[in-house]
Amino acid sequence: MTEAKQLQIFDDWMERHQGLLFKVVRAYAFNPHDQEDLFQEIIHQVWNSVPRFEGRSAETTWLYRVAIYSAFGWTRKEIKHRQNKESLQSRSQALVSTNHHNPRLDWLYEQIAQLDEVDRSLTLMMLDGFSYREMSDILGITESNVGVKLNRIKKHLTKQSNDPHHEL
Amino acid sequence: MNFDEIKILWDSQKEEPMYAIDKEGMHQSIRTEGKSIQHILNIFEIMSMLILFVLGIVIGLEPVLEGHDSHQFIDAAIYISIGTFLGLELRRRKKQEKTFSQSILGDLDRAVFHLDVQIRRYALFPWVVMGPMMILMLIKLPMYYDSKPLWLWPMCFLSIVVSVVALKHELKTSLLPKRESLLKLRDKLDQPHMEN
Repeated sequence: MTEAKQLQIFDDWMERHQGLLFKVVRAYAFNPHDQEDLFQEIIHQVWNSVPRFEGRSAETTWLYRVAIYSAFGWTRKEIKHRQNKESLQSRSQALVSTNHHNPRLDWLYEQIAQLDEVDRSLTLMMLDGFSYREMSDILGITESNVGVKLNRIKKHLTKQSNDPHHEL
Repeated sequence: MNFDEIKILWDSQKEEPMYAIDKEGMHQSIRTEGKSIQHILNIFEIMSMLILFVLGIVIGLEPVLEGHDSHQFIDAAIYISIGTFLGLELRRRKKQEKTFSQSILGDLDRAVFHLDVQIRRYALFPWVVMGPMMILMLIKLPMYYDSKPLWLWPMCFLSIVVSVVALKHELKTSLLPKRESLLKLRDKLDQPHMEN
């Protein structure tokens, strides 16, 4: 694949599926610096994944897999990232924050942030309307395993939203 | 709030995204760090292998063409052996890489496999590379390089010992903990009832 073709596909993906990547960034990184850092990590992985994409799965399935796997890796290296804050300042900024803030959404992301990294990934996919089958394909686990985990997550989220201390 | 209301809240992001992309900055970032580490490692390995082969051939050719320093055949054989070892390892890794599933679990298995390759290499390095080099030095230094200063010998041995200790340290402090953390994540993903 030529670099021009790779760039064309990459730009097209970013144009159409950027919202998906923003959700992953927000669910795994909790301040602007870390969000920029994680976003850069994800776009590099997406860029490198373009030649490997054979169209056997939907683009969103592929991108979720790449983004979540990057987020898993980034989370494991988080402490190291915190120690290297200066290095990011010399890099190009790819993520620009808009002024759209919804306190109810902030609350929801806070709840998602309290889950472990695996449950967070399932929550994102569940809220984005992925089927059990798609989630099972992305994660590589059985559909029944997905079901068990999702039931627990759904219960947790609804319980939190109805808790008088957390209610919106 | 029930789950459907949570879903409506989630979908409201489509209308009001929290971020925008700076396309120029993104392209700049890709150009700077575009190549994957795996790609760079593959090139590094292939280059190391080629250099070892070329060195082996050049060192081995000299005694053939000039008719002296036949001890250089041993050096040539060692360089070519290490190059062959690297080549076989690379082929073995490439073959195995195709068997992982196209999923996050498959990605984790691949990452563990790459770490295992590195761990294996670190464990074998003292025996496959350092060991033969040390034996070669023991044989060659007194036989062919007796005019060299005496302090050079312990320095050479010390550098080999330091390299082995550094490898062991890297193995213990970086590679093994990384492997353990990947396996923990894998278990978390694969087991339905695992607690947070």
